Amino acid sequence: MTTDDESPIIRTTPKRLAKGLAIVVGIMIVGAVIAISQWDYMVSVPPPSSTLKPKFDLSNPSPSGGHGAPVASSETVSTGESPAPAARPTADVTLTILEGSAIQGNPDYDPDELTVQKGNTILVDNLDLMPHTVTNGEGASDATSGQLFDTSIINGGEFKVLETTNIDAGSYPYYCTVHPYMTGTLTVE
Amino acid sequence: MVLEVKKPRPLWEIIFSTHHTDIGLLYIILSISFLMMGGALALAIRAELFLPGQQIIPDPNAFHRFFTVHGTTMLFLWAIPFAAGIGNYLIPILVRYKDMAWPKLNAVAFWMIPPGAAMVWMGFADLGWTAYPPYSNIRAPGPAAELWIFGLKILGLSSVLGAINFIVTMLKCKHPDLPIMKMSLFAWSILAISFMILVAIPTFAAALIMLYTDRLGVTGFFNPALGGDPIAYQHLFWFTFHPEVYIFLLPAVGMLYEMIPKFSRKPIFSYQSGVIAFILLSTIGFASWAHHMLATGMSFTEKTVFMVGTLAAVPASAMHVFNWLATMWGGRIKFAAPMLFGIGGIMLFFASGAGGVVNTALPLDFITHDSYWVVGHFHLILMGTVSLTFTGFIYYMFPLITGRMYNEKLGKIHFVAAFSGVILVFMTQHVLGLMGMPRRYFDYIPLPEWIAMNQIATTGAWIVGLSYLLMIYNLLKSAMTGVAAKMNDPFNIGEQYYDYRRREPHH
Repeated sequence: MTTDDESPIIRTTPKRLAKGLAIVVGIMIVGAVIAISQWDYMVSVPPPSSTLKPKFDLSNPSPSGGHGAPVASSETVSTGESPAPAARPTADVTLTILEGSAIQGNPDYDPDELTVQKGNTILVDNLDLMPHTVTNGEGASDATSGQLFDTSIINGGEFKVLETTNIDAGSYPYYCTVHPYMTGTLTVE
Repeated sequence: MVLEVKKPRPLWEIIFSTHHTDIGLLYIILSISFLMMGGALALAIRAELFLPGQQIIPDPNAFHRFFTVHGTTMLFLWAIPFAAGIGNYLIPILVRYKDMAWPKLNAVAFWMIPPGAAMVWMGFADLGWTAYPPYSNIRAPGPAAELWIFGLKILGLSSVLGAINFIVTMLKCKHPDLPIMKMSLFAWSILAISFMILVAIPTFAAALIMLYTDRLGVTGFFNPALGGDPIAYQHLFWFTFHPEVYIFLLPAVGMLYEMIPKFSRKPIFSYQSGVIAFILLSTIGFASWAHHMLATGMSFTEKTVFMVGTLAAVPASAMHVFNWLATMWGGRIKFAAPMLFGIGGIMLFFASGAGGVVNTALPLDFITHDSYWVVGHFHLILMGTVSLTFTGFIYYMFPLITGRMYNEKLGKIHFVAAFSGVILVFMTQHVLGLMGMPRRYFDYIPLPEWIAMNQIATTGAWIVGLSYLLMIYNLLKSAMTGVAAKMNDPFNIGEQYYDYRRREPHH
């Protein structure tokens, strides 16, 4: 077919279109493979700013309004009005929730794999500034979540004691209902 | 592809060409591909919300990553590149110049998009497309967040380069016999958004760098613990992105000005009012950014200023709508697929505009803020008006690009399904918002009303998704085996189509 000025109109052939389509879809597939293989790595590094200490004590605003008063000494960060830490009761095993656990990628439960004898008591000590829990199950969608053991919310700097007398021997995953990427395993012998 | 060749060239010659139709074609293919990928994420999000509790997305963090990449993709990899692609195709034809002013810069602007897109899609950041601090600067895990920041910087630079090119092409290279007040209204819309991009984007570019140094911990612009102010970021962000809303919208408005007079077989009702409305919208767009932040605790004076600034956009938008309606009035309208999409876009423009007036009214804003109402509202404008019009323009341009006709019946089925699907999803989301459902939630309280509404919305989303698959099938099939189009009037409307007799690339 020709146009008014007699130059031919070239229309796409199936082969040519298939070639173009193969390029587009091929790039998508390669991209998907790379993206899926890096899925977890891509959200594993907290930003450097997440470990900064505040320069201002926000809980104690200066009379002039504006920013809080500068903190007097570097180690009294955000103690606020809370008194000296309460004494911890004695327990057979201690499970520590480390400071900074709330940030994805940081170490959270210490130890992650906790082994106790049936009947032992576990002191769950939250050293973080954020609230956390120790709740059995794989995550919020797990039907058995919270059925076996659950500390419910432990506020920052507080603790709770977990009894294991009612738990049969076996290995149970647990997690934090507030920060579901915090996970660990409890083994009862 | 009929426009670009005298004889078929190898594909790599098209891919690495600097000719405006080749680059326009690359833009269009890239943006349609990302529309499909972003749409797949949207369907996953809607499937997740079909029922309360966890459905198909493994955990809330993955859900956040899904909707972040969905939003970023649809805005920066579908709406903007598509408008740039159509602009590349049509602007040199409409202003009668051989190519864009700087063909190589044009190619550079296009080729910045794939690396930017790759950075956004490799990382799958979880900070939301707005990346509000304090989450984004002290918590959001990297390297995804860093990739997102730099990906968006590259995409922003790409649109700035494209905008410079469009402005110079239109103002310096247009044919001397073509006065600017006779230039097509689509060209006017691209001119308006190009100036808006030049003014708006640098602010966000600065905010991104500040966000990045904040994340490194060396600055505290938006970090309250270091004396910074997270609200400052919102000001910088919305100073760019409220005008950006018009940058998404105006090309669609310009496309409606191309399609509606032709399919109505009548001249535009009032060309001058169209030009004036473009200029008004592109200036007023800068006077309303803080209406996104009415709930952040501004003074009453500030809130009132931005409320009035927002309402000032209503007359200009109404001028456009009135212009279209008056053009159609009494015309012998041909309801081909492009025209149907255009009319659907106008109807939903009116609906979403009315919703926008509710949003900006101060007392009502506090009810709808951060609820599904907002999600429904901006999707109604971006999907309902912008994307439906863009889709219509894909069908409208199809004969010009391929020299063949698409399947008209499938095109009409696509319109009916997409239009009703869009209404099902986004009108329902308005209601959900008024029922109190917050946005961005992975899980929701199992109230029967909420479940029913979410299920209607999800069903609508699947209808839209299927209709777009039908479009892809239609386009691919018709590009290969469609009927040869009558090149000077493919839609049989007795109107001049675009000049298809472009010579081979001249460089």
